[in-house]
Amino acid sequence: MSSPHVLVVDDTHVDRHVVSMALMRHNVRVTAVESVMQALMFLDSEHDVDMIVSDYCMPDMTGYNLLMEVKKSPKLAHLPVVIASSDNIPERIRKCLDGGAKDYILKPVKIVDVPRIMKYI
Amino acid sequence: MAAAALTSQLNALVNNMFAMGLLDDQFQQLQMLQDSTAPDFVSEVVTLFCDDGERIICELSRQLEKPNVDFDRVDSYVHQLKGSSASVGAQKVKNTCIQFREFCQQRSRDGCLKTLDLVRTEFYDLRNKFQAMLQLEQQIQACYPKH
Repeated sequence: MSSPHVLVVDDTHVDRHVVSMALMRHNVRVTAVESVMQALMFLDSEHDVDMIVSDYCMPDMTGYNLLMEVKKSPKLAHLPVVIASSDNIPERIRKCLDGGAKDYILKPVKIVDVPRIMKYI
Repeated sequence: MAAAALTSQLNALVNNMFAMGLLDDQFQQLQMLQDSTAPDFVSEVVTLFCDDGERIICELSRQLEKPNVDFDRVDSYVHQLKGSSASVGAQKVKNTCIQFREFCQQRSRDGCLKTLDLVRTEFYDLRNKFQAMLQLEQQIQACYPKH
């Protein structure tokens, strides 16, 4: 079986690097982009993405906006989306889960979070 | 012999950074992610953090000098710095960012300026120690013949 392909979306370079490495340690192929726009363009051209892990707070479009775009697209709606955020705000967590996110994890992402994320594939 | 001495110097430096509360256990997460397939991972992340932090601190001084401070904008920069500090385990800088965000919410320019001075001092102190750490790592690597 080929290794799963995860799209990481985060505007912070440090976080893209850390989250990508944590996933790669679990034999995951990672594509990391820095905005929702780039993520949507990538999803439009690539068809082998198995999961999206997105930051919440980003300029222009948030992780929630990405979640909404993915869920309304017939082509993408099946993709599991996990939101990562440093803010522990119950209303925001509920909004993301109600919107179809598989999970909402608190940043910084830790190594132990990865198996939990991977089970959504 | 030289390598052993440098290694103990490096360990003492890192232990001291933990003891002083500059770093927390997230830094150990980074160390755990580094292995022979990614031998430079920690130094890459630390370098990204130092570059990002310097850029954000410059931007914060610029924003707070303006006659009409856009506190939401200031807050979003502090949020970025808090995020990357949390991701490298820069505990002290992260905690100061939390205070900083409270002053943003209160729309307190004085509070923001004072906290900016504090976060700047803490950030550059940490950056100097990170640079010393990376230098020691390079010296240690140089002790071993290349493959």
